Amino acid sequence: MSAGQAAENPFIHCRGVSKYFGNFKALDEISIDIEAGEIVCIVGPSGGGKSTLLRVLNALEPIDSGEIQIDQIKLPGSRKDVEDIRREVGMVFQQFNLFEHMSIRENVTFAPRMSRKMSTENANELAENLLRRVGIAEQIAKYPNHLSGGQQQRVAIARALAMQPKAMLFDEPTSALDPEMVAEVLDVIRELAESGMTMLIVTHEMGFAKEVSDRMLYMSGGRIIVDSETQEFFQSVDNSDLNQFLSKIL
Amino acid sequence: MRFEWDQLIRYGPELLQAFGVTIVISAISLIIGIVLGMIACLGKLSGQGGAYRLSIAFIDFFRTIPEVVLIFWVYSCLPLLLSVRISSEACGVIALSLFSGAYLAEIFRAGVLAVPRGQVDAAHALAIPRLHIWRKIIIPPAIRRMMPAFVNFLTELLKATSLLSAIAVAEMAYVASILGAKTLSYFEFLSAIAVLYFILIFPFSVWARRSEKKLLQRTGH
Repeated sequence: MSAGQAAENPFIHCRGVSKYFGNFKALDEISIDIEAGEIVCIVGPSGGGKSTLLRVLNALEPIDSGEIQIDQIKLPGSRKDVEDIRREVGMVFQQFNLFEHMSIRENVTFAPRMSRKMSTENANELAENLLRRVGIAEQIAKYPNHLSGGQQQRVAIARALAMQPKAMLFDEPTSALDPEMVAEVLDVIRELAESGMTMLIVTHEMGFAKEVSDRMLYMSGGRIIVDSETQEFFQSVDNSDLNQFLSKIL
Repeated sequence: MRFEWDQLIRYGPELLQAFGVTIVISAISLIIGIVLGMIACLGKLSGQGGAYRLSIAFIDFFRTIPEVVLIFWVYSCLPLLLSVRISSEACGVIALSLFSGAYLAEIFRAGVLAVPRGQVDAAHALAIPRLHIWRKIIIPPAIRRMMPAFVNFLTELLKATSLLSAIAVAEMAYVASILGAKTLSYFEFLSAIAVLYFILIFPFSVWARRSEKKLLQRTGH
């Protein structure tokens, strides 16, 4: 594949993606391309389709029409395609969703051992490195319910990174946290951003979005209403809907 | 009236044997019931198709009809339908297995559904193969969550074995009533089996209560 073709093949590619929940149209003909290394923040009112977009990108929800392509793998696809995409794309949830009956170490080593067939020894070493990276190496033997929300979310990030994904999806990673714990999680995401990871982040933290992202999406009613570079987004986008949203949230 | 201990002592071995029959029939019915219950649980969880409809029919039917009717039906009608002779013990096991299967299916299903959906999502998002998700993410917490209901059911099953006296299975209730009729010492034998049932079942009720308390402490709801 030549370099010219690579540029025409964005890392994430969506065309006409729609998703219904019953009669409710959660995603309405979404088309978007995201390049490798890009950091995109998604904002907008709740129920606007932000979380659903992330969930369809990781095949947690099947799409009703359209096509998704991530690193040349297409959705809808076979079970193998779905697993291949999930290996490449890590996901972090609002509610952390750690495995409550497993220690922190097991939470982080589980996926590499089961899904990448990594030896326990190597997985343990990987887990120690990742937990050090997110600043909670000393909690490795504890269980999730002994950790604070901020610590749990940092474990969840380490758990997703243990799959060595090429991209990360963050679904409101700080919305369930007490205010004093937001910063510690954002610091970890910021560090990831600096490392060049491709990221899609659904967030209400506007200051953080402005600082960390290359590009902003504003979603409402299942559509992408505004898609622009971050600087432009906060300065000059002329959209009454968005301006109203920003004035409420800033 | 005086309590005739010597009657109890004389027929003690028979009572103890009946105690054993109660335990063995409960155990076999429980094991078959667990297998039936797991199949019906998975069928109902599948949410659509033939297996789903069959599971719903099985669960609803055997949870709805009274156990005594089920026992009589298996004893009186099933041999005619199949044109075979079935011993009363086997009939008892068949009836109680069907009864257990239907109840356990719902208990298992409640346990599986109580596992937070987010943990299953997270496992999917980590590309964990489906079998491992069941083995490592769903079943261990589901078992913990279903334990109180499961142990409670066990006490119900142990009690239900006494209904098999209606088809002359030599379990405790039947043997006690026969011995009572033979010796006219009803008071001794029925009191004795009441105590035996209590000794058998009470530890399970305590266990059920304990496991419920433990679960509340762990999950906080």
